[in-house]
Amino acid sequence: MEEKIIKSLNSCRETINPDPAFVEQSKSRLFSTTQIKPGFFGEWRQAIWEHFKFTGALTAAGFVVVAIAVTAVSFRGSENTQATTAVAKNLFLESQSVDFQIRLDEASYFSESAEKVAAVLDHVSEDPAAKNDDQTKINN
Amino acid sequence: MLEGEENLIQQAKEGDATCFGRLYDHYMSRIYRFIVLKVATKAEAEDLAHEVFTKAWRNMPRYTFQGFPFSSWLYQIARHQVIDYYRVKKEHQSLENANEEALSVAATLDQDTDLALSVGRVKLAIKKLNSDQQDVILMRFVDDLSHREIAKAMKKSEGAVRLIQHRAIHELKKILQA
Repeated sequence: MEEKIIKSLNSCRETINPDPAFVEQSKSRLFSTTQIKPGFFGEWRQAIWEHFKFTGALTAAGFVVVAIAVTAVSFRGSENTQATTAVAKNLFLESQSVDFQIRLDEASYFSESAEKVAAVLDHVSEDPAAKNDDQTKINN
Repeated sequence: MLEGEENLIQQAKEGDATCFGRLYDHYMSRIYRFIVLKVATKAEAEDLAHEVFTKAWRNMPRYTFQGFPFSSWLYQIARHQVIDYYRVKKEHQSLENANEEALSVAATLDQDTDLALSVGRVKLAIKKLNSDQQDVILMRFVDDLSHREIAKAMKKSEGAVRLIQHRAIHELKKILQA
C-alpha cells in the first residue's frame, strides 16, 4: 500500500507540469517588476542584525552557564545546611537525654535521703535524749 | 541543486534578469506542482506560483546564501502564499468541488492502468492531511527534496520532518483504505 502511494505521488513529477504558455507569460510579467534594493541603512541594519544574532546567542549561552553554576552552588549550599541541621538535632536529642538522666539521679538520691531522714525523726520523737546527737548527725 | 547556482544567485541579487530566469526555469515546475496539489484550481495555482517568483525576484537583493539550495527559500515563500490563500479564502474547498477538480487532473494523468491508486484519489487523500503533513509529502515524494532541504523550507529539524512524513504516510494509508 505504502509503495503504491509513493509510486502514485512520484508519477505526479512527470505528469503535472505548468502550461508552457503560462510560463512564458509569467516570466515576461515577472521582470517588469523592480527589485527592492536595500538602502544604505538597510545594509547597515542587516549587518548589525547579523552581528547581534551571534553575540546574542553567545550572551544567552553565557546566561545559561551562569544559571547552571548558581543552581549547582545553591544546591550544594542547601546540602550543607541540611547536614548542619541534622547535627544540631542529634545534639539536642543528646542534651535532652543527659538532662533526663540527671533528673533520675536526683530522684533516686531524694528517695534514699528521705528514708534516712524519716528514720532519724522517728528515733528523735521516741528518745528526746538522742535529739541533740541526732540534730548533730543531721547537721553533719 | 542547479549547477553554478551560487553564482546565478549572486548575479540575480545584483539585478541580472537572465540569471534569475535560469533559476525560474529550473524551479518553476516544482513550485507549481507543490501549489497545484494544495489548492483548488489550476488557475489559482498559476496565480500563486507567479506570485511566489515575483516575491522572490523583488526580494533577491536581501537573500543570503546559507549553503542550502535556492529551492528551500522558494518553498518557504510558496508555503506562506498558500497559507495566505486559504486565509483570504477563509473556507476550504468543499469535498464535491475538490473531487471534481482532482478527478479532472487524474483523467489526464491516470494513463498507467497498473497503478491501483489514481493520482486523483491520492490528491483527495492529501487534502485531508494537515498542512505540515501535506507539505512534507509533496516536497518529499512529488518534488523529491531531501529531508534536509524540507527541514530548511519548513524551519523544522530533520527528525521532526521524518516523523511528520511517517505519520502522513500512515494517515494516507488509513484514508485510502477507508
